[in-house]
Amino acid sequence: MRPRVALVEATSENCFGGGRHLDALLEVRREHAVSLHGVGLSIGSTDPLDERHLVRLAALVERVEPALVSDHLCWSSVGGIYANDLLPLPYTEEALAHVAERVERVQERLGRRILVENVSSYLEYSASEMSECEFLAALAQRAGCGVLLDVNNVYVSAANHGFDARTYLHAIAPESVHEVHLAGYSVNLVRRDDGSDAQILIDTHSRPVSEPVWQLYRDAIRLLGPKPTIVEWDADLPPLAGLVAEADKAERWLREAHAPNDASG
Amino acid sequence: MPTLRELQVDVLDALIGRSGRAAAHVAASGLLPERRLDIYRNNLFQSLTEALAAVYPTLDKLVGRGFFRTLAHAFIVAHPSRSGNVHEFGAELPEFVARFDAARSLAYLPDCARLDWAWHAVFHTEAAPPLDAAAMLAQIAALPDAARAGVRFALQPACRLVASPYPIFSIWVANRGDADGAAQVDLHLGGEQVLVAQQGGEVAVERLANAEHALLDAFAAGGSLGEAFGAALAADPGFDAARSFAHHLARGTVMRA
Repeated sequence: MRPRVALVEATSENCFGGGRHLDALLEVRREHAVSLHGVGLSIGSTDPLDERHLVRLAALVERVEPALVSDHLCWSSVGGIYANDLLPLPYTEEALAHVAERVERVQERLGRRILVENVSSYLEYSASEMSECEFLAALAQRAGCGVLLDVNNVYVSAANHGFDARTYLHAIAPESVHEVHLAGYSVNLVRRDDGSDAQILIDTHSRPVSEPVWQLYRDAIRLLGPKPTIVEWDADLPPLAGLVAEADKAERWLREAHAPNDASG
Repeated sequence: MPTLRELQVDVLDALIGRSGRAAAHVAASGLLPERRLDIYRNNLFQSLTEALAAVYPTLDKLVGRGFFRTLAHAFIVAHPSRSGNVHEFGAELPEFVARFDAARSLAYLPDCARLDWAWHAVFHTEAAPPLDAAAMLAQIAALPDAARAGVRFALQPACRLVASPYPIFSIWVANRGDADGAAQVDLHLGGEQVLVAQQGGEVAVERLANAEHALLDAFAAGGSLGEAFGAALAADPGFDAARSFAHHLARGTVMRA
């Protein structure tokens, strides 16, 4: 099946070893634009940047010639040990200066701009001096990187921390956003000490995009303009047609954003 | 206020389960800091356990998921991930299994795990393209006898040899995704040697006769043509070492060192 999609995204580290993953990606690349999305750069870590990782990423970028390269606003390692998860940063001036410098070095190393994606989170730090969206906006400005806006992550984090998702959208400069992610989430119940249950949304990428997230996406596109959008699905995969249907839904919202007042549309 | 580094050290320590300093750094709102850290800790152990199960499917099937989870948990604490590329995680598991008390009675487990890792390593390694075997053979044939025996070869990066006193190939086959789960393997079948290599973009696992294994093993150790042929013929005087060597040259298993 050759779906008519505008952009295909692969997890960069999956292709580091070459082989079938890379072969498949190169074949996709013949017909589609490709986005390389990393999970292992650990851009916010206070460890030195992993030179070996950068070498492999640079080699992959050279091989694939992607339209977009991205990783996450997070840290995943310290003292040489990796959680292999996307841990949120405290939003402090110290962290901002640190992450901006790291992003600049990665961009210099790769010879191109990267996009930094907002993660979904389940905790915030008392040391934070600003909101996540203020931090991300300031980072994009300071480091000259782009933003990969994950609308599902905005929704999940907003629900988990009690902030307004739409405030988040307004904080990011539209011209800094170069890609958008959509995905499904799951709801977990966590027992509080008083015996009541708290709802936590978990960014599982194993379900269809939820209705409130489609609405947030619609608002994001109206505010920011049309942006290349990837629908992510990592577990409990549907048949390819199911994933393409989700992409088609995003396509419809993108077209609607072009002409929201077109009475004949 | 903690520095960024202090905060990161405390949080990672909390996730791998070694200290409780991180809770003090987490904003308390609605849910206790410890519960929020629990979410990340559970994610860490769950996703790394799933990664290990995907890399070690034979081991997972042999011990059952309940035991595998216990083993994985202990392994993650003892040998946490050291790479942002999760595909590099888990190399030490075969040795860890060998030292894991509860697995002692299943002496074949470590070598079965080694075979699983070999498959994973070969999958994630860029294969060197096969050289022009005919030209190489002609080159070798043109050398004076003494020089010919001294030419060194190596195994290509995208292949592994795994040898065991246990029937690890038969066990691997019996536990493959599409195999009948009730298949039993008689441990008295004895030892088996396996070559894991890429073929047509797929990972191929094949059982080797003693002599063929001895030939390739000699090359894996940086041996010369003479040494490799000698080792093969010592294992089986009737083995056609030259034919096997030509076959592996053509397939790209061996390359000039």
